[in-house]
Amino acid sequence: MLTWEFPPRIIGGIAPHVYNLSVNLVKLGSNVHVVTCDFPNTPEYEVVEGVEVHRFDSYKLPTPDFAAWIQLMNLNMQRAAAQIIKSEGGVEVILHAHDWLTAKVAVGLKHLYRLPLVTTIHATEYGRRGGVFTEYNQMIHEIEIWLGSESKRVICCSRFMAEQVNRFLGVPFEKIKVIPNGIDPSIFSNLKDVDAVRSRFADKNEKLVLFVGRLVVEKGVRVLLDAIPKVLRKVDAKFVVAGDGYMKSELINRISENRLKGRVYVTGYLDTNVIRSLFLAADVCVIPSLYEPFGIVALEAMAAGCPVVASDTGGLSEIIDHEKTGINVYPNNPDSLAWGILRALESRDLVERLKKNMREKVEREYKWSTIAQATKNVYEESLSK
Amino acid sequence: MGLKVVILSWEYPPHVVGEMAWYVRELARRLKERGVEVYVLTYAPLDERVDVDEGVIVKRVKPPISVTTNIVVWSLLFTTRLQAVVADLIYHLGAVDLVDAHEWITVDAALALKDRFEVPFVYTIHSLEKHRSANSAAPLNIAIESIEELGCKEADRVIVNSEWMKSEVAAKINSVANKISVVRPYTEAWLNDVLEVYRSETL
Repeated sequence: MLTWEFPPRIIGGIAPHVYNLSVNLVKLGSNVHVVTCDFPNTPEYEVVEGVEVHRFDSYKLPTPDFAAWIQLMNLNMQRAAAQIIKSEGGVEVILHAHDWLTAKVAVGLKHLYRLPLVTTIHATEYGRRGGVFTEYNQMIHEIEIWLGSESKRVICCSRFMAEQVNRFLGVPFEKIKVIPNGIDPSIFSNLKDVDAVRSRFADKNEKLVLFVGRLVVEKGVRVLLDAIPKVLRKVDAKFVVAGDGYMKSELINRISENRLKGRVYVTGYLDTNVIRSLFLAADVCVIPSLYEPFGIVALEAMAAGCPVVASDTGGLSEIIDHEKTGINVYPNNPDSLAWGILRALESRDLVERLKKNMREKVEREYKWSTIAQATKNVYEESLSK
Repeated sequence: MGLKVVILSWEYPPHVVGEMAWYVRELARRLKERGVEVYVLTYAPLDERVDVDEGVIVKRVKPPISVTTNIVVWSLLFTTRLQAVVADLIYHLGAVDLVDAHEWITVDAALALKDRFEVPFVYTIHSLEKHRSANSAAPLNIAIESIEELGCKEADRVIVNSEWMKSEVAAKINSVANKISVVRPYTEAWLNDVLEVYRSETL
């Protein structure tokens, strides 16, 4: 399992995904080695719930750009992986790469050891930017095309992503498998002090609207900011914006400019347990993404029983069925977003119905055991022929 | 003799950037004359192709992508393809005796091959980044220097073309001083020097 992030090194959705997948593959009897970047105060080698985690020295010196750092990191990753493959000698090894970030090491190992390569594409450069405009974008885009063509199978988390991978990366549909991301609902049990967490942000008579995600353009942070005053005109609410990213200072500036300071909390990165408590405490979880290959946050909210208001885009359209398992709004449309939030806050019957349907859908489609089995089937396919 | 040697060099005619292209070509030709089975793996400015150049098998390889933002990315993706082609060659031949990687650009491939096939790795240095570039503090230069350092540390032997270069390399990383050999290019002694290094690593 080749991944640039793995808990506790969590940058985006790849870390929790690879963690859950690996742990559940082990439960199915697979032998899983995760090869990932080092992280302060974590051991070079440890066994986490049966998963062997190897952390190598990712390149530490300055580099001309992020892409150069990634390739140098891949050089080191391959050296680490080579030792592991050697120690597993004679056993069928499958390579599983995650995104362009591990393309170099994956393709290198594939050819040197003649091993089958399965790749999960979590997001594409083309999709993220709405096109390929700079030399840098083009470079990443080409690396993704290369990785796709070198892979026996390409796993995507949604039909939306499968379309993108086929259209923008030229991967034939026969090679693509759609396996959704999963959620483990038990992470929401045994959380103490949910009320205490809630009261940090909102009074009992105030509604709490939650946004969890990276503060970047494609997560729709600006749309949310434009919708907030519209919501506040009708309802007494507090907004909690949890996450970090390059838009953080823009956000904070706009909040003071629009005099929303007491109403919108930009918390930065929060502890996992606090975030989970917030999902339990919130009245609505809002996901105004402009580009969303899947939308794990939607699953988290659903598993916690928190109604979701989400852009009708990407993977979110497949997870949220309008007025059944959540509320869909037009993407990039503050009026529509405000409408959706108000709808979720105002109708008790709707909320009850949503909670029931959400719970059922999570049970039926998004359990990690199901997803790990589907992944294992892809591995078996990649071994044959 | 029967030595099978893979030479990695991004420069080889017609891809001529400096003197190195001619050096490698002449070295390969003379090695062949001495009975060494030589495979040169180099960069393909146009199509990928395999040629036989005076008995030397030359495989030209393209990087897998066409656009990169700097030479560090370019070279590391080029070497990914390069190592794959050499791996195929080794699977076909059964084994090779040595990889002679010229310049920092090819170090990554030599390392990967050494890790996989345990084939000895000779690193031939024609120049150092600190001499090529006056600006050694920029991230690009630091990155290239770190690859040079990696090559020096991980190679079984280092070949340089002058005593001066030997002292320059040893000054940079003094732990490698004992494995540096000076060869005398285009002289009578040149091939003897090189073959001595090759043989000492393949016994």
